[in-house]
Amino acid sequence: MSRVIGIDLGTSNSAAAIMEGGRPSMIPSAEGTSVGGKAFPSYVAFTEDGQLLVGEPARRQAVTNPDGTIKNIKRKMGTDHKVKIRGKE
Amino acid sequence: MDMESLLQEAEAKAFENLDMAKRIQADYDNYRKRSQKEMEEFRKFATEGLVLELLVILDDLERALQTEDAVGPFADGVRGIHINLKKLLEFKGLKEIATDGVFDPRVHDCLMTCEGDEDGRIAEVYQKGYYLGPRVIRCAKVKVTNATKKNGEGE
Repeated sequence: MSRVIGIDLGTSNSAAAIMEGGRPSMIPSAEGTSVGGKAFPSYVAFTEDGQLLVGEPARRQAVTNPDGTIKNIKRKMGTDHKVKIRGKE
Repeated sequence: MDMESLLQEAEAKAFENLDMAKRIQADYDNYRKRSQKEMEEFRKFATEGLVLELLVILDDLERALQTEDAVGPFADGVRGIHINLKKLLEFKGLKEIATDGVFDPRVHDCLMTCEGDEDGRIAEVYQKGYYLGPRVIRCAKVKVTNATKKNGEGE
């Protein structure tokens, strides 16, 4: 059965919701509700050992891995900005 | 319009309605299952908020007992209170997150980095992290080593 998913892609935080029984209901992230409620930080990270992290875990390791972490990317959308991480664009 | 096409139209309409009814029923079933699950989760973790707030007091007690002045019978009494509080919280499912070893972004929150012989080791713990049952309720706030910094290649 097909469904509509609504995504709020924010600069700092993002969230997703589906329509259920005629009402929108937010999908909590795997880490559960945090400071930002059911939303999660708009972070993506590629760790040195090749892991892909998103959301809260990606934010937590941002300080140790600044070159492998992407944040505030919404600001760059629509421009020809390219992110280069570990030799990949 | 002849009877044949009228019948066809009515059949198509009936099929469409049945399909919609099935979808709504499935939608409702999912909703019911999820609310039930959420309710169970809520019951299970209703104490989570309270435990999270009590952790601050647990931290304070630990810090107080680490000072030089924490000697003598009075300090022993406070030590006893600390043990009691910790035992009570552990009975509710509280478990400390290990911070000896490698930095793991799923349970540790890196606040800053420092020089080190290798990458990604925990150098210092600013705030202990805890699990409540299987869930992380507070990440451990830590300082992480960075080998590049030492070799002067960073920045």
